[in-house]
Amino acid sequence: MVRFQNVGMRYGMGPEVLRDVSFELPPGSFHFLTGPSGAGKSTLLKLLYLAERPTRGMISLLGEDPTLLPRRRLPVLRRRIGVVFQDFRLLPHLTALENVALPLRIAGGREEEIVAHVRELLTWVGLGDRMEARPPTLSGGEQQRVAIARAVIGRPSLLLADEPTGNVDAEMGLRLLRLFVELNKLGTTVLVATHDRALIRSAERPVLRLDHGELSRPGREAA
Amino acid sequence: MGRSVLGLRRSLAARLLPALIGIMIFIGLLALAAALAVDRAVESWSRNIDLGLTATLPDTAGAKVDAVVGMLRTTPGVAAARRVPQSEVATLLAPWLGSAAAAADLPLPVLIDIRLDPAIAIDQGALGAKIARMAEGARLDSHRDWIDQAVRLGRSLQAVAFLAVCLIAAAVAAVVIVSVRAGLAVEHDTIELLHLIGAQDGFIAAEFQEVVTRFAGIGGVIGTALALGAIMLLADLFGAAGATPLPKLGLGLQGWLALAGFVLAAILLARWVARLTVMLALRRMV
Ligand SMILES: Nc1ncnc2c1ncn2[C@@H]1O[C@H](COP(=O)(O)OP(=O)(O)OP(=O)(O)O)[C@@H](O)[C@H]1O
Ligand SMILES: [Mg+2]
Repeated sequence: MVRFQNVGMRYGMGPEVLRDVSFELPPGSFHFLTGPSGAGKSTLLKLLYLAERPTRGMISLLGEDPTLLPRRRLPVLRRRIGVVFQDFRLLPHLTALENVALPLRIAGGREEEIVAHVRELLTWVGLGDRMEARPPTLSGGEQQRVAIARAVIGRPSLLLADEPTGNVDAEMGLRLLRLFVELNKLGTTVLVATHDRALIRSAERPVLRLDHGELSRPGREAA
Repeated sequence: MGRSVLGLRRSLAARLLPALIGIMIFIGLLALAAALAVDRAVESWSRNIDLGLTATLPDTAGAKVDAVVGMLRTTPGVAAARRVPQSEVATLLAPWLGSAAAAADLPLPVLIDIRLDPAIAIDQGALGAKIARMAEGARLDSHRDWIDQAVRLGRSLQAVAFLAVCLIAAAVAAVVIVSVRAGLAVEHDTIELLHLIGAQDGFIAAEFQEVVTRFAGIGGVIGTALALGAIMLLADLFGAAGATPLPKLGLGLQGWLALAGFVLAAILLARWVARLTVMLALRRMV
């Protein structure tokens, strides 16, 4: 599903923020990615959702080498990847419903199906009564749930979440985690970047730990 | 999709683009209308002039006038020859000599109006020489020099007008490029997000294209309304100045169709330039 081999990454002329990163996510797996602030978690995810290119090393993603794909073929690959951005990146002038529907509309789905599907999911994440609200009028936690709904609406093969529970209380955090687990059971490969130790403990999934751009001992988080 | 994904109606210098395109369509329509009207006028002048000549004899010609008229009437290629009555000559010269001319008993030249048969070519040089032999001091005037000059002036005016139309098309393209580039910069993050969730460049280009087409359409309506008003007004002024030697100015059906075509072409140009600008810019994005 995903394989990194000796991947290095630097922003412009800056220092390497990822060094010799090698790991593999088998299809259908569920991993956490953790590490101190500035360790490079978001950067690693950017390589996975094709917002940045590695400066060295090899990446294999959903059976493709993204560095070799022509630009016009990237959208189809990206539609198979759901992303929850650390800063949400919702479109402020669209309603919650329109934001969540966007990936389906871009991919060209049937309008009635899209709306029914989006309503169902927003209700599931507890936003049934906020569907017509615009993101600036939503709380941080509500915006986060809209962002998560947008990431999972297209049933991605790979789900990448960057601090998806940073703005919600513990109970809602567990509820959202359950959404990821459900999706994982349906076959989606999941990678969740988080500082939240309680969340990591509760899920009992393998953990990748980044420190200063280097990956250390993959394994389970010690309790 | 009900609502535009990008907030382009706000970020594309929204108020400015329709106004700028409207102004350019207004100017372009006036230039084009002028070119078309001059074209028709020049054509009708040359057609009329080719069918007529004037022979001018000194007032001392006396009985020779009738001989010249008789000779002309039997010349092949001449459809009709008529002595212009002296009262008409006085009227024709009145603007230069004043209406007192006839009364003052000034020596007025004798004019013979000659209509030509367009089917038979005549040698004007030979005819002129023959008339001069029959009546000393007589001239044959084809107005050719005068009309050639007028035609040359008309053609120059036309060339300038068409150049203006081309420059206006270039200006429309430039205005669209500038405002689309500004929109791309303002919406950079949103466009990146759209790419990341799987949008093709064409999806994003379509957003710009639709907004620019709508703005150009609004500009087109405003510019056309203003230009029609101005053209009607000018036509009225020309109509009122009936006494001038200017031929009637008009556009004809073809002319009006050309004006409509210009407005449509300007809008389509704006639409196409918007798409091209976006597609080229997006090639450098993620
Ligand atoms: N766009 C950028 N340009 C330059 N440097 C960047 C950029 N984004 C991140 N960095 C740098 O790369 C390093 C890794 O940043 P990254 O955002 O990947 O960390 P992180 O592990 O996600 O941190 P956090 O837990 O705070 O989100 C940091 O030193 C950061 O300053
Ligand atoms: Mg981060």
